[in-house]
Amino acid sequence: MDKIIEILEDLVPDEEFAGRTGLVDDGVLQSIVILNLISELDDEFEIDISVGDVVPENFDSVEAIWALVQKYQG
Amino acid sequence: MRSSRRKLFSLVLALCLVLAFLILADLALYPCTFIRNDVHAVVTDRKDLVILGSSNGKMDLDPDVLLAGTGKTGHNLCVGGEYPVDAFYLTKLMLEKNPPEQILFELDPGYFMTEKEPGNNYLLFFHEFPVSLAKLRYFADTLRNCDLRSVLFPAYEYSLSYELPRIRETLRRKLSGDYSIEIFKGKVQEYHENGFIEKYPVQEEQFPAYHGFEFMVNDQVRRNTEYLEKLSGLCGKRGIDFRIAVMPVPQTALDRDPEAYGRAWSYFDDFCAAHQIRLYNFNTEYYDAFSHEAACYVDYDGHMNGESAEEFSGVFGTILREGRG
Amino acid sequence: MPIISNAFFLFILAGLLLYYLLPRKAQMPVLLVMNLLFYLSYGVRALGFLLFSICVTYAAGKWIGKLQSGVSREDRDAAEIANRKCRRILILAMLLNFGVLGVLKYTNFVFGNLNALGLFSLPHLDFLLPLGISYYTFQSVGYLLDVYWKRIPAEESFLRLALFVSFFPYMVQGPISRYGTLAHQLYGPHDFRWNHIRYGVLRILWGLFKKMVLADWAAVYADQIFARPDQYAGIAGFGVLLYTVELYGNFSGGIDIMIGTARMFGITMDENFKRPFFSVSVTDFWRRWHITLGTWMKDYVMYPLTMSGAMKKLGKKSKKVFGKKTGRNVPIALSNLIVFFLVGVWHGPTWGNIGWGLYNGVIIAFSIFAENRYRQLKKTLHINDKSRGWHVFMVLRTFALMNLSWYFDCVDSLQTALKMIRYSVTQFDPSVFLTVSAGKQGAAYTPVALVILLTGCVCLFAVSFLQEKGVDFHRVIARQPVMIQVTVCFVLLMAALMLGPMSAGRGFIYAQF
Repeated sequence: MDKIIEILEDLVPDEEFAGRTGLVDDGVLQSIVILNLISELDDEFEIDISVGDVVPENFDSVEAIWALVQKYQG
Repeated sequence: MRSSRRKLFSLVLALCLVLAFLILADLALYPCTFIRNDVHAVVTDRKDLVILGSSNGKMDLDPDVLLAGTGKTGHNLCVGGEYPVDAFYLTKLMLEKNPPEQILFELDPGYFMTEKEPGNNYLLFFHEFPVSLAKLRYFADTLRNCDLRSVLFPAYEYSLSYELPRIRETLRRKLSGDYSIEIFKGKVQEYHENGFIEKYPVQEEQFPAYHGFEFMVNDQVRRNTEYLEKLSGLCGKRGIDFRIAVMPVPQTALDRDPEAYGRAWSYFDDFCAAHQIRLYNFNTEYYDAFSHEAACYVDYDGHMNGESAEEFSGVFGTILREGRG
Repeated sequence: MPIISNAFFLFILAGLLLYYLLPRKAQMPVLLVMNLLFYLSYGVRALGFLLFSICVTYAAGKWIGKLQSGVSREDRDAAEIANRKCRRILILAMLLNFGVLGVLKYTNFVFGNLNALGLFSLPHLDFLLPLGISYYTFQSVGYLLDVYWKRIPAEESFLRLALFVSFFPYMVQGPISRYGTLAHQLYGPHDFRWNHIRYGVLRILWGLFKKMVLADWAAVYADQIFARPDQYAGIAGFGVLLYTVELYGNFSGGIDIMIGTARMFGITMDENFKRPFFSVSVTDFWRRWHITLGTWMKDYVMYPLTMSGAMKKLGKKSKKVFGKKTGRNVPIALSNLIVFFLVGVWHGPTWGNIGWGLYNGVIIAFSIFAENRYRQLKKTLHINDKSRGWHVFMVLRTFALMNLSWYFDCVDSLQTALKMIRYSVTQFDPSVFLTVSAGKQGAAYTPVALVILLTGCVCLFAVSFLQEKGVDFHRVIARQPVMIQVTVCFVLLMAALMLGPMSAGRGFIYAQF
């Protein structure tokens, strides 16, 4: 989880991520950031997120992103 | 429950007020046109002869002179922008209210090459139609696809700055059913009780430039020919004597576009022959019956000055009577 | 059946009566029949293309769904085989859907360009362009991809899918909806609610005002200025501003009418505009302008393309060459260019549109790479990017960038566009306006028309500004007494009816795409 927050803070400076929801709906994570994030996650966790999982629900909070990563790791 | 009923009541009341406003706006701002007189005339009185067609018919044919000596009555229901579709529904309206004995359709071949512009040109007639089945059908066929101003605020096609100062007069005429014609007397023309418009003479030097004439059989707007067929069919079915006339065109114009005119004349010759309609063409069969000199006209499109129109109507009347035997 | 015609409003009225008066079971059939009638009013022949798309989409979706549900997760080989099969079905269905669109819309463009190369002499063909073909094709393909990616279950009922694909409010100019958000609303049942009717009426009237007054007046002037750039050189700059008003009023006004219509039937469609002229960047603009096309492109082109194997390989290579941050963005910028190429092509088969699409794509691609430098630059120059002044500057900058692109959109040649840009900078003489005719009303009416147009734009700006600040106009109006609510509607209605230009109604720019 901390790693994810770290990646996010690097991609979008000046934003608070911990414990926050609505990241996609509020426009914090926009398409270009999401694609950067996926690229980072793939590298960091050695997973291969498929495009079918790129829906707002999976990126709306740090927890949701973590859950997505775990799904691929498990 | 009570509150929702009260809400409904105030809503209905409010809608009625909006409706009342729209009706009042129409009453006050939609001008009294001569078409209002024309439609009123053919709906309230039975006429023996009604002339339909374009501005050429309006200015070239005086029904009283045309019918002189026969004791019959007639009305000129032509107007610039009257397409076969309008003529068809005007006929339907007359059939519903007061069917004439004979209909003369003044045919301008130029009308068959152009699409009727939606909006105002339908409203001009539709607005004056009394409540009738013909009005409903006319709506379903034409105004249906016009923007909603045509029903909710027909006055949109007229300039407010022009209509506002006349509100009192417009209201008075409409509310008292005043159809007097002196308001239609202008600087260049005068409207007559029988629908004929008398143009004051114009010197040839003052004619507007000639626009040219084009006619290609294959480029015709099908809808226009279809409604002419429908009109002829309707008259046939209801026992109305239906004839077509083409007004004389000034020689200058005939000489400028001989091929196009030639194509038009032969096309309508064939058309009338195929539908067994009696055709009077004053540029071919009856070429010599009336002068094609510019002095008789007010422009190269062939609108006649009043004096020539009276003379021409007399000539045409004689031909019509002889033709009937 | 043109949208602002008498027939359309009678059609909606009759539809609403049946929808709420008949038993609730009949609501879906009523909508289906309305779709059919609406579509038929544009001609019988186009219906065949729509039906073809519905059948292909239904069959492919159902087949994919069946294959996917038929295999258990444990059996990896079977899953792999099924997956491959699904992919083949998907590709076939997409080819069929896009094939029809491509042939009907782009054949002549391709032929024309081949002929221009001098290699062929291919004929110009007259194709029928069915109403809404690009909208319903996109909506269908979106549905298929969602089924393929298992985001939604395949639709079992043919009629339900037909209703989703043929839903009349989006046929003329969008908004393109996703199955996941729209479909379940279509199948009802919906109770009658005053709230929905009021919302619909207000939204429709606001749309009518935008279209019939703002867009139509702006069009009267923009058309003339762009048709005779030399004569109206002194107001060339106004020409493009007027075009902006025309485009936004026309497109968003039409969308308002349709979203309002759908709401009266209890159905909430996706918004297509979110005050685009308050955007702070071109990227932001595309999140606020024609939103549903942008979202579609993002979900169904941008994401799959960037995450495809080839692009991932490219990303890995470029990371090695350019470093992590820049390299990571190479595939994204490339996909983005492809997306905007497609957006350009979507707007119509001309090189002008393609150029316009790429212009947007290049600006956004540039901003992707420059983002970090830009941030540093702001820091060194001590620019407070949270300040109001900076925000206004960014909004104006974006507005200027978008307007610049429209010079190329509204004239037929590059030279004329460049000439108009030059005039806009070098010549300024607003008095030229008085010589431009107000259509049927003549030049004498121009001062009045301009006052109407300006006042209307100020109203539009004020409303947009307040919406941007979070004011919900519908909610504010709904709290007022009925008489005030009706007065608001009445004023909007009369403005739409009385203030527009006399000319017979113009069409909608984004129709027939």
